[in-house]
Amino acid sequence: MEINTPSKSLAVSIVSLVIFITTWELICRLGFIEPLFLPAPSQILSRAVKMIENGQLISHTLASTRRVMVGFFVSSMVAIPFGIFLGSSRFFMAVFDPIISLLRPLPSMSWIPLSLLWLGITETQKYSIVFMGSFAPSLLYIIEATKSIDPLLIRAARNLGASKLDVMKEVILPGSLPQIIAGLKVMLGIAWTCIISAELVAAREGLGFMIMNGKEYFQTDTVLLGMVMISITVMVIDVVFRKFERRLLPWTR
Amino acid sequence: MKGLLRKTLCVLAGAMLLLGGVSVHADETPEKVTVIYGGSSWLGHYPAWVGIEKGLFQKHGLGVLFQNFYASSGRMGSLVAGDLDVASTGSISAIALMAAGSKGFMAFATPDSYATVEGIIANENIKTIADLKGKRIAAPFASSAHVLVLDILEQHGLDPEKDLTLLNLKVNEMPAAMGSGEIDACAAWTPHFNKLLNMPGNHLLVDDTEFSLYKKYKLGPGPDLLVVRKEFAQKYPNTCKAFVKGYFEAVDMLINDPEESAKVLVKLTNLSMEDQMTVLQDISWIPGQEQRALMVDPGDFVTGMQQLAEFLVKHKQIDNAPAVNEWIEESMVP
Amino acid sequence: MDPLTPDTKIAVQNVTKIFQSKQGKKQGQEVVALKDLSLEVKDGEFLVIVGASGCGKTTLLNLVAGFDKSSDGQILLDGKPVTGITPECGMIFQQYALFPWKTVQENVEFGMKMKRMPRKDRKARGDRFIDIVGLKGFERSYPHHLSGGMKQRVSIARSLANDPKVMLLDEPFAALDAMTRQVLQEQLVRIYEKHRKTIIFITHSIDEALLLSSRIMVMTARPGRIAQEIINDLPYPRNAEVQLSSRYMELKRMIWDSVQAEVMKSMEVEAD
Repeated sequence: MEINTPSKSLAVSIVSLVIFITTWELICRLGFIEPLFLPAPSQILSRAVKMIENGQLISHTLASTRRVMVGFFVSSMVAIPFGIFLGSSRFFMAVFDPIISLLRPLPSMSWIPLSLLWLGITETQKYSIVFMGSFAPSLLYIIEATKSIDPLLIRAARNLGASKLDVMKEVILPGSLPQIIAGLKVMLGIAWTCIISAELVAAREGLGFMIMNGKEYFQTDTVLLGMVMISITVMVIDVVFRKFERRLLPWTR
Repeated sequence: MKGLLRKTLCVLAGAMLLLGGVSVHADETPEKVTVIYGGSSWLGHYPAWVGIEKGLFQKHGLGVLFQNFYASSGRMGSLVAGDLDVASTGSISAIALMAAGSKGFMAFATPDSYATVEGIIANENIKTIADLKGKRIAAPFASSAHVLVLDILEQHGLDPEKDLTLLNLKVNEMPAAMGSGEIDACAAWTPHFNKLLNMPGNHLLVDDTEFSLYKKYKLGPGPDLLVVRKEFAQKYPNTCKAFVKGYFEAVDMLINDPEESAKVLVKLTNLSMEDQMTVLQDISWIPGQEQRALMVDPGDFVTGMQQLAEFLVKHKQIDNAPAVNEWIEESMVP
Repeated sequence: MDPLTPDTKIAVQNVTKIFQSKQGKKQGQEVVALKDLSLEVKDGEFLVIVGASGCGKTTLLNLVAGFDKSSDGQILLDGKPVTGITPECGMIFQQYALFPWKTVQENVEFGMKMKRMPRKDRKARGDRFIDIVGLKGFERSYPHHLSGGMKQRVSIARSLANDPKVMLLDEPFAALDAMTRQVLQEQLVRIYEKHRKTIIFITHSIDEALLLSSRIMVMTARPGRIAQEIINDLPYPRNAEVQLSSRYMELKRMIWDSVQAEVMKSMEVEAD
């Protein structure tokens, strides 16, 4: 079959999803796999219904989403101006490069002990894990994005009387915005992996906690439900992000 | 990877056994000479360790391999996945696995009781349970200490959701959190329990003896339970019998000659000889001959476990209470 | 050195520019782009510099605009040395250099915005120059919706709206098709006649030079120097009749001869 319209490809996607879930359900129903190792989709669904009824699913999802959004927002708000500044100054790039290189490879998990000591068992500690896990990579994305700017535009702006600060604000920021947004979308996924690891320690709510607690009680359906919720939440945020992106980048339409 | 490791270990154990040059009675010959035991440095695993180190299993023609797993849940997962043959586990984990409908394992004994080395420790501002109101208290979720906290709060009419903040912390994170004033009280077990008690200002609020089921059945909030992989028990009954014999000989040794036992245990726990002896004093071992009364028809322990399962349902930790007696392997109870 | 006459707008005095070659097998070698070059542009003059590619025309404009520093010699604007980028010399680039994220209106207003001119005044002045270049109705369009010719008109309006003393045009019409080029050339001449800006215009098209200039300079290949200077006395408007006149042909041949010699020379240099 030739896929030549969006509705056709949507139809194919839906069929593929249905086949995937049906096969999964059948394998479980026919007893090929014990529910402990892989619960059937229907079992996950009934767990979802139960957890929606008692309000836990929503509160875990909101807790994680809030942590991701706050940590990610703060990290972006610091990384964007700082990245643009570094991207337009060779001197300061050289000053900060070694520090960024040291921070970049550190997984967010490795910040947990220090963050607990510095910030205690608080929400700020959770935000800080997302912040530390996403800041250095975001910064690198943004610095890279500033390099995609045609130097001729910077020249033109300076020729029209723009100061160096004006150039950052009027040229480098809007010029690298499409790449910055593309990078931040990738970073948002990384922010989610950060929060899941942050919630493994000293947490009592959130999807990461839900997964780990489900594991402790051998509730594999809860574990899978938590995983499904992460996927769904990321997809929803992605759609919202895309709307936001169109508003922010009217010239790319 | 795990499989390969296991095979290698089996071959090694078999070789050790051959070198030992053991002879056993013909009709009780173990069908399989290696048993893989899942444990950790927790006191519930002392008998298995002593049995291995003192050659008590070897005497019955078995080579037992001690595989380390820090958490009960991971150990139980590995057991039902077929990577372990026998294990000791916290009963919360076992009940949760029963509630999840896994028929892949059976329980057959409870070797120890440690009610005085697990409890809630508080700072000096908290004198009574009622003082916990509005405070921050930590427990490792899904553990015996967690269950203890839920029970004690219930006994004193406190709601863990509304009246105070219950935090999820691992026991090894508690000393730092108590030290910094981050939390006002915490529930932990030995050896961190002792460490927390020794910190200035801290004192014992309650221990497991205050647990409601302990008052009725002498059952702590998370007693240790010996479990066997069901398939293994069915396939190798003689091997299992030999294991149980060796195991309870080790329990007897722990009761009768703690000093000799401590000498080999320090290799497992890395404690000083003195500390090791103190820990041993706090444990009451349950010898083989007392097991039947606890485990069979219906057995105080099994009844207590059933109550514990219902308690967990009441506190929304598990969905439904399994019928615990369906998971008891009578043939293996000594 | 000649004393400056009062109406001299720009004076390029003994300017030498040496680059370090950054890549290829000539890496690290010095390239002399301009050598001991001097010229003067009078106020209100339309100077066209003609030369083969690589003769250093663009280098010269970059020095005048302050984008680059000369290795030796100096450039004076109204008698004062040019030391950095100056908005007094508005540059028009061959690649338009419009800000893709700004509308036509915002692009044209950019220079005024940088001068912190109030929004209202900015808008009024911007509208006037958009009208002058014939883009009324496209104020809210983004550059990528415009044709090349329209983009270059935006660029010209953007420069004019910023009211520079001098306009520097670096092969501004080279990327356009012949028809569009002609329209824009005529428009530029009209703007020049009306606003009397001092203009330095770079091209490799002799026809373009003859159509636009009041004076023409032919540049030599590396190192760049002035090979010939021609006062363009063709009458305005330089319509089809003028372009078929014998004086036009004569001037064209004269320039061609000297350009051709330079092209040959530069090809020999390449072959080395």
